[in-house]
Amino acid sequence: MNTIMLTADRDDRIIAGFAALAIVIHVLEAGFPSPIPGVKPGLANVVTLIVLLRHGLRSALWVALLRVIVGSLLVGSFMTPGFWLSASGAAGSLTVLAAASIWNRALPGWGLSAVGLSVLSALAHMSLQFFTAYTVFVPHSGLLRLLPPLMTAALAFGVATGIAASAVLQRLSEADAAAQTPHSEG
Amino acid sequence: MTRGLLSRGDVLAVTLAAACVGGLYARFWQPAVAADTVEVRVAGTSIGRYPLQINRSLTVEGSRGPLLLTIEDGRVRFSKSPCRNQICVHSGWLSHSGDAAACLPSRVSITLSGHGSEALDAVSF
Repeated sequence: MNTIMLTADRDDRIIAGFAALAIVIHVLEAGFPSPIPGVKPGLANVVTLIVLLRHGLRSALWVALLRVIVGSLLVGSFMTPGFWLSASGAAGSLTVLAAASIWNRALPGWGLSAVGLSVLSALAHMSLQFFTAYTVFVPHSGLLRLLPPLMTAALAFGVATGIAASAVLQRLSEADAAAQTPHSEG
Repeated sequence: MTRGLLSRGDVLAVTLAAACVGGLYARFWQPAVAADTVEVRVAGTSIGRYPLQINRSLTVEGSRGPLLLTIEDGRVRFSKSPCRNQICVHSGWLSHSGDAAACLPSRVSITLSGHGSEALDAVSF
């Protein structure tokens, strides 16, 4: 009898754990009323950033992909216009994060940390989302007038989530340091 | 790992991002486009389009008598109207694409148009 054994390795567990966290934030945020359509803090992106900076691009891509699909299934927006907007935004922000990872490897002296990555990915998210909205759903030139305030919101929320991610990363690296010296005196 | 909150790269990225957002305001929030023609309608049907570059006065026969339109220096206004409220006259000079004024009792309206996108009246979702 042939048995296929699937064993979850360390990476799988990390991806699953962080994806679960991102999905919870995504669902909570979906229940939050937004003053302007299209404007959301994007707190789930904090998780993507943390995974990117601690576990690399591949894991971050998985976490973001799982978050968008499972999150939309739970919220009930899977395959709706909102889902496509969100998916195209995620594609834009992941492309930028991938480019930024290459940038960080090529130019370590000018490397981007959480805040820079967060701002760039927030702007990319909004741009792609807006591009999809404009070309597919509402091809009216009046929509372009909304672009500047939407991008301003993306910039502000990008900085805010970047600071949040940076704070969490700081705590995590402190925890790592503490775990490496478990028998410290005191 | 006790680096500061912002690396050099972060400062560069945020500065560039802010500059791009500023550029978007400059690109998409320009003041209204200057109009180059005015369309005159009586009872809903167009009776003609007139260029705003040529100064002139037009007499339009409304349902309550003649109205006087003045075109001057790329602008247009109702100068005289037989109606009681004179709302059209008080609308004053119009010069932007998308601007409009009307004398409802006379059923005469003017609409300005120009190149580029017209200004928005409203945005709703």
